[in-house]
Amino acid sequence: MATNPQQNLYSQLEHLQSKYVGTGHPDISRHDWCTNMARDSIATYLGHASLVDLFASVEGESRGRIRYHLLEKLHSPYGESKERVLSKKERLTQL
Amino acid sequence: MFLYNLTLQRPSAIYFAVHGSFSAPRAIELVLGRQTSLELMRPDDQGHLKSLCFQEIYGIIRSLKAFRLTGAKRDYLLVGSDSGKITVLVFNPSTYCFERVHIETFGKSGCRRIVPGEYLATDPKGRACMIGAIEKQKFVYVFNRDASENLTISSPLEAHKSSFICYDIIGLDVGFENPIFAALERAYDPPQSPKSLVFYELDLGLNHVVRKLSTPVEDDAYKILPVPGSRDGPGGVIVCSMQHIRYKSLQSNLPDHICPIPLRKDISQVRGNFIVSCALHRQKGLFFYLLCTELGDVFKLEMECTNNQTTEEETCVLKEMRIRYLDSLPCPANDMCILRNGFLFVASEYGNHGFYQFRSLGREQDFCCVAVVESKDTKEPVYFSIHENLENLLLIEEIESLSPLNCWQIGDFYREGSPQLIIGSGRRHRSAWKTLRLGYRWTEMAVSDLPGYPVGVFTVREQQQDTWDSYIIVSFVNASLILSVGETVEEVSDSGFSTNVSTIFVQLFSNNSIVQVHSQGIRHIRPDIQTVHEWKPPQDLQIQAADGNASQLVVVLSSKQLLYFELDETGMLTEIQEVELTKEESSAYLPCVSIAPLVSGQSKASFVAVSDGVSYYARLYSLKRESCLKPISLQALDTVASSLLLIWLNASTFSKSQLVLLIGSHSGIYIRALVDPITGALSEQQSRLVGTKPVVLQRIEIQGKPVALIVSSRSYFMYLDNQLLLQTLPISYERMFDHVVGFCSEQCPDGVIACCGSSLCILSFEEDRDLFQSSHLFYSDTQNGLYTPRRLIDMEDASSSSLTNDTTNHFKCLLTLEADQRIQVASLLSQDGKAPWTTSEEEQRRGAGYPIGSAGSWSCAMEEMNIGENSLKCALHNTESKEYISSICCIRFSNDADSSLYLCVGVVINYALQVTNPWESSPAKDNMPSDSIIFPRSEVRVYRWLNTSDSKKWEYLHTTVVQEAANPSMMEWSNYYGASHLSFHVASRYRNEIITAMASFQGRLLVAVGTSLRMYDLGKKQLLKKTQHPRATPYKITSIETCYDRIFLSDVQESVFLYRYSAADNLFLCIADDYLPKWCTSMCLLDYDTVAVGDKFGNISILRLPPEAGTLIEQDPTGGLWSKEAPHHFQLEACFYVGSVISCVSKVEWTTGDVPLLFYATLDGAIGVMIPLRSTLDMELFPSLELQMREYRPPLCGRHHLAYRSYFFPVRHVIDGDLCEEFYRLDLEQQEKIVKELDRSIIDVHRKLEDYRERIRYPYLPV
Repeated sequence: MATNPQQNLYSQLEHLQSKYVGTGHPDISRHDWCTNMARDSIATYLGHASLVDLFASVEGESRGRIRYHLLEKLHSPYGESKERVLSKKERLTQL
Repeated sequence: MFLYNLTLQRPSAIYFAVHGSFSAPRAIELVLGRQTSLELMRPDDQGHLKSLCFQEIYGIIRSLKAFRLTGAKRDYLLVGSDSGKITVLVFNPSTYCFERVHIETFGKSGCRRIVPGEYLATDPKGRACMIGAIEKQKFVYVFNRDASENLTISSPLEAHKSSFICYDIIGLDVGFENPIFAALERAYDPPQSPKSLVFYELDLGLNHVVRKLSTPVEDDAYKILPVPGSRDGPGGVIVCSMQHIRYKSLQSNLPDHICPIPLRKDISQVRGNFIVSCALHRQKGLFFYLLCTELGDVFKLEMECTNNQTTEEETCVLKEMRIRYLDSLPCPANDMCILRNGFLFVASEYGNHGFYQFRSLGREQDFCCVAVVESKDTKEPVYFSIHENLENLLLIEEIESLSPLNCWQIGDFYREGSPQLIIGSGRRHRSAWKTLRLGYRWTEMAVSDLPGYPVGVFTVREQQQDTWDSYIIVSFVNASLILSVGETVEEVSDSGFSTNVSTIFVQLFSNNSIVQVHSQGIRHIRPDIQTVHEWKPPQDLQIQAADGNASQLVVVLSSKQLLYFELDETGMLTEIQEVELTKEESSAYLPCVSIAPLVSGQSKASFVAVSDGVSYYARLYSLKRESCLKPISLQALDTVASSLLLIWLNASTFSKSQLVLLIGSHSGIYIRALVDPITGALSEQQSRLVGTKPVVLQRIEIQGKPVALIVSSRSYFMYLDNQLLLQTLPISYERMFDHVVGFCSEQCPDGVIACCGSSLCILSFEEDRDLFQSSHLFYSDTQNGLYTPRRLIDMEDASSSSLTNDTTNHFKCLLTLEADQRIQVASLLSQDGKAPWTTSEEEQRRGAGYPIGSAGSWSCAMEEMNIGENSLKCALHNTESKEYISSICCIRFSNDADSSLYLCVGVVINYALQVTNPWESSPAKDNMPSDSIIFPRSEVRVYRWLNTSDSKKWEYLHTTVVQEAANPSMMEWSNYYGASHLSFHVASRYRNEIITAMASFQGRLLVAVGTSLRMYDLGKKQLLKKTQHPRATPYKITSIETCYDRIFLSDVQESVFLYRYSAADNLFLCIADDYLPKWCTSMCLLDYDTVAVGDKFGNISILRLPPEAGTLIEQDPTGGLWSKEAPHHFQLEACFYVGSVISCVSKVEWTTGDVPLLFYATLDGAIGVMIPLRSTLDMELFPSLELQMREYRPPLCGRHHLAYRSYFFPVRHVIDGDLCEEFYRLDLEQQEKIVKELDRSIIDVHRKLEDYRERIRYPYLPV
């Protein structure tokens, strides 16, 4: 048993974070939160076949391609995070 | 407000299809998975698909697989649903439904990111299965058998890997080695991580799963397929990516084979050819795949192997892999199945589902492309030309599909007395406008005129074992016409029938003798020696009515005596008993009589129903030896009976039959009662007004199933459907029947012969749908459209006066709006607004489809649907491919002196819709300069209806720009915050500032542009802007409904807003909004305060302005002018989750004089209705019945019914009628338990359920 209750709580939270993907925390960045939300939404769209049908009908693509697009979008629905973009810029400037 | 929800037409989109033997060993069957239901189908000998069982699972089906234990003869069905449980189902052939074998919980319910259910893979030997989520989680379950051969399932073995997206999972064929599953995965981190093919091995000995191997594959790979292994094939995996398919062997020393996917000539290589579905055919010594691409082209993937015997074990190595073009289907397939008997089932994405037979498995001359072993120059694209017609496949049967159902109008457009539904369904080149009518349609096979007016018509077979009818007897007032049925139908004189008398009844007896009852006597014709026995009634008496079955005959004399005859052992008719029906001899009406037919195993029927033609009663007499012709029960009527019918109704051969007495009266009412087969007691009496003529009842057989015909001024068809529901549906035929009889011949196996006036018609059912499926209540007429239907509007809605003043055209004209993105028509567009397609191209495009264009290239057309001529004519077409017609509206402007009809067309220029596309360049991701973004511009074009004697057309008036393209420099400010995604939001907001909806309001035009609402009046050179609200809703207005001074706006995300137009201030004032968000797709006004809204996620809600708010608004002197936010909020009156995207809701006055009903349609082709509950008693009964049903029939896949119906919002004030109707499928014991809880009788519950079910079946109110 951990002696420090604060630490215990923290480790419990951490455990929950890893178990339930997408759970937020007080210091979550806007980008992370948006990404999680978008990923959850995409998962719902993929689960309900008729929603994929709706997108396909609206965009004029086949269901298969829409599914593929959504799965690909799952990776980074809100683009790369700001920190990452900044660090890339820094690296560029260093070069 | 309490509503009762019933599904009228089941969804027609099929997302999953698996084949196997579910009901019996070696049976060839298909299980079709729809969004929320399962259906088992079996092809019959002629190749027609017959539905065996349909089950609503009250949950979302996400994946479906069949598996079979080694050595077993039947398949199990594995369902991945949204219940957070894995379900193993088995088909029970005695009850004809799927039953749960195992249900194992592994996670939360709902379609979540990390809860498995999305992917399902089974080991080919049926030893294990893997169920996976989109991200992270995967479970493996091991199947086994216990001592008594029952299936057992292990506890789950985890194969999780966090921060990994899963694209596909398959089970590899490894023979009897440890089962291996392959998954296509990609890590979140680092962002450029490649996709990889990961193998998971289930160690059966150690009982754990290891992530064995991971090999990188192409970045655009999207699908993997298992290759048959062990003895039959080389084993391994096929990886499909955009440009090619790659074979990967499990042996690491063997090279990959790569085969490019051939492209159609007009497809760019960058876009590639996307494989949407595939089917594997496997038999001894042969296996191949069928791959269907997104354009509907079907390729056969052949693999040639060599056997390697160098090592100890015999191994199979791939020698050559080929892709051969087979044929082009009309549209891509959601799923395909190759059945063992050589049929191909294709579940189409849009358009009808097809059932095909193979003519050949690819011929020499068909395009073929051979795979190469991996090398550098494999990137060269390969092109092929398509077959114009099917060459290797043969279409056997089509199953009609209404999916996707986009828009509709309901009303009595054809003036038939009951409403029709005109729906727009299908997509792109398979778009169709269908007119749905309730009931069944009969088609004429032959019509012939008769010399006089017949008084009756009969058909009879020559021998009991005959399948077809041999004679048709048409009876006139003083003669009979005998027609013999052979290759042709012709009159004969040597049949043994008497021709100079009026025939009353004809019957074939069990000893193959035929009896002809006429007014002067009974003529008994023996089969063998053509001897004829005549029985004559006493002097001065005539026979007035007769009925019989294979061994019994009853006749009623004019003295109102009932005589009962039986066929004795010697084959003679002998009189057994007689009884006097009434003392009164004179009567205005003829008596009528009906005897129950024999069911298998019965030698004699026990009851006869008689009405004497005088009294207002129908009596049931016993025919049993000990109590012969003793009256047993009595049914009171409102008038004298015109026809009686005793019939055994059964759902299918496995279910028990019920004896039903039908009584038709001279006032057009029919009464139905259940007869106790032992005591003869009558119960469950129901009566209905069916028409204005005396009712004639007839027993016929269709597809081997007894059906009662109820003929009056309208005709109906009554049967017990496969769900054990008694269905009564109208029959559509243009003429009224006088007499009808069933007819069965080689050309017309399920037909009827009807007398209409002085003509004789042979009619047959034309439906190819399964007649006895419940919830298939409509039949349809189809007209082909140009593009995907988007909107259907009624031209006359613009004003109450009729559109045209000329009296010849009574019928309405509807306007359709069809639009499609990604169609390449730029070169074909002409300035005159004509359709770019000619009729010959029209035919071709129905087969091959349109050339694919880029995002933002539109094809839009407005067509006039002329109801009277039944024609569709293209009236308007976009002239540039960057123009998108988003909405149309018919209006009469109040400031127009001639009050002519105007058409306003909302056009958006430079608009591309591709929200799901991950590679769409966006300012956020690419840090692109904001001035490189193209923003759309919206305008309204106004046309005037010119109705002169020589031309009827829309005349172009002027164009008004309602929204200029946003200025990119306005976006600069957002960079101030330094966050790129902010500018992305701003950009997307400006990109959504397009015209979305228009409506006519107090003689002015309301235009919704993105979030703003504007009002325009007609001007000489352009529309004149009168007022506007810049931010009427937060995101985007999707539809506008108006009612007096109120305007209801539905938002794409934030539910409904209610505005009031204050004429004094010339302002739109917000009155009310909703507490909860709703992604509205459609809205319909129920009354001044109430709207029904359907949303994208499948909820139907009814929102009402609280009554006190209405008065407050009236009393408020400022009119809410100064309040910033909406001062009031809608109350949620009712809410219900349907299960798929709602595409339309409408309030319909279905029955004249009845309360209006709320009809809704879903995108996948289901049509449902919500009926207001009638009384407080019903409001008590139905919720408690629903509660009991939830307990007694829990959903099949483990979702909780209440939780399912409350998917997004808690269900409120809506009863699930579909669940309540399953009451009929419970056994008697359970039914009794339920009614005991409810404190009602079973009959009560049945009657209530039927009451609501029959609300839409009849055009008359219940009596």
